[in-house]
Amino acid sequence: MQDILRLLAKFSFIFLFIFLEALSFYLIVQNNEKQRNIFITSSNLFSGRMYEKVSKLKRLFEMDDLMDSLMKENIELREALVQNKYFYESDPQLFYDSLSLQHYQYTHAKVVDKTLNLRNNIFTINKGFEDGISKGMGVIEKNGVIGVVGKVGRYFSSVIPLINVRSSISVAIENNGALGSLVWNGNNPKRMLLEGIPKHIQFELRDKIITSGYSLFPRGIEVGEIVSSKVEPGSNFYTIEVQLKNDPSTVYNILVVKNILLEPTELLKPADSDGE
Amino acid sequence: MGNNIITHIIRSIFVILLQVLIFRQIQFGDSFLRYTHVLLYPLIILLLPLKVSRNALILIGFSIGIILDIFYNSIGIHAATAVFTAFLRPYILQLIEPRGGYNVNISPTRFHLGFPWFVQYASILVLIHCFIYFSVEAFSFVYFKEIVFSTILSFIFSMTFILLYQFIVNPK
Repeated sequence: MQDILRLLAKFSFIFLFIFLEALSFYLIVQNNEKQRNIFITSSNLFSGRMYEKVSKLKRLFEMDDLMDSLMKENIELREALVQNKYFYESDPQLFYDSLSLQHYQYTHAKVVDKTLNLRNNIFTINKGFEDGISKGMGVIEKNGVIGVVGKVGRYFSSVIPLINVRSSISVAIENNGALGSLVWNGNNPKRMLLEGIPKHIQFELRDKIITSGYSLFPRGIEVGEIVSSKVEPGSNFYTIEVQLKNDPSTVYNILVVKNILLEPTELLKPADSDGE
Repeated sequence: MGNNIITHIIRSIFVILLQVLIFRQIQFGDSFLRYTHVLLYPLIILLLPLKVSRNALILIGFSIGIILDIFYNSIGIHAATAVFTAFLRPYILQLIEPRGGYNVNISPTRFHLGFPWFVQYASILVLIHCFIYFSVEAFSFVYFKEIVFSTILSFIFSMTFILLYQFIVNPK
């Protein structure tokens, strides 16, 4: 016991030293604005780092909700675009508010299943007729076209994507408005064929291909660009290869386009016309 | 011995006054020297008699530091630094002990132990003192470069004045 006390007495200066240093630092933090701020922020540094990590993780889980809300907002904005309105008058600026009808409506959906390596690929989306989806609606994503809704179930629907040899979408060359249909030959999923452009049409390589606006999609959605063209001997039409802008194989969030004015226009067509 | 204590007290007061009234006022304007502080008061700790116990040393260091902090308006910074310097002093003395050992009744001054020894002794402690001072002042090693820069400049100026003091006053 005495030895311990002697030892303590011998090293008392160390305790004194630690005590006085601690006291000094206490005084510093208590009395000096700058050092106090540094002290507070430094002590938050560790907990802060941890909170940041946790919140990042939490954000990861919340990402889906966030995505949904953003998609909702996107849909609202998209529906407000001029090209999604129908105008009685030719000048949209003039009669924008009172005389426009909503032409296209959008529904957010997610691709829950897809096949990519077949010739007749099918995507499945998580919206069905409960959500207002019906056969023949267009499906787009943020930077391109995906395809057309095929079968519709109660909660799920199938989509015939561009990478399906049965798919055919009405598109136009942006510069001259020449109409054609976009089909796939079953080879490269990024390459489509543009058919139905007559020989006399003038266009250049890297011309943009957009949706025509005559069927399911609003006009002007960029689909891709022309990478090569040739005329088969004896044919009156070009065979044009189109490089897709988007990659259908990676798509997850999609928008289903509802053309509200489709029914009135369908009524005008002869009853026996081919729907495709 | 009684005389000795009075000498030390008078010296302490004198050095603190010098520090507060003169060196504190020195400002180097906007030049690269603006973060330089001339720190003369480590001299008080340096020149305390060898007999002084470690506890007393640390307590004296703390008191001097607090007095300076009152004038510098930076409560605790000088105290922390001075306590640290006082704590280290015996170790440094051990480190650079001359061959014959110390005469415990003297103070470690130029007068008793020679100029080269004193320069060695003072420069180690003053350098540490400056470094600790700027570290505590910055309170974060984020500013490590600035700390080292200020330390070196302040060390040069402080050492100059501490050595000048040795020649002018030549304390025993």
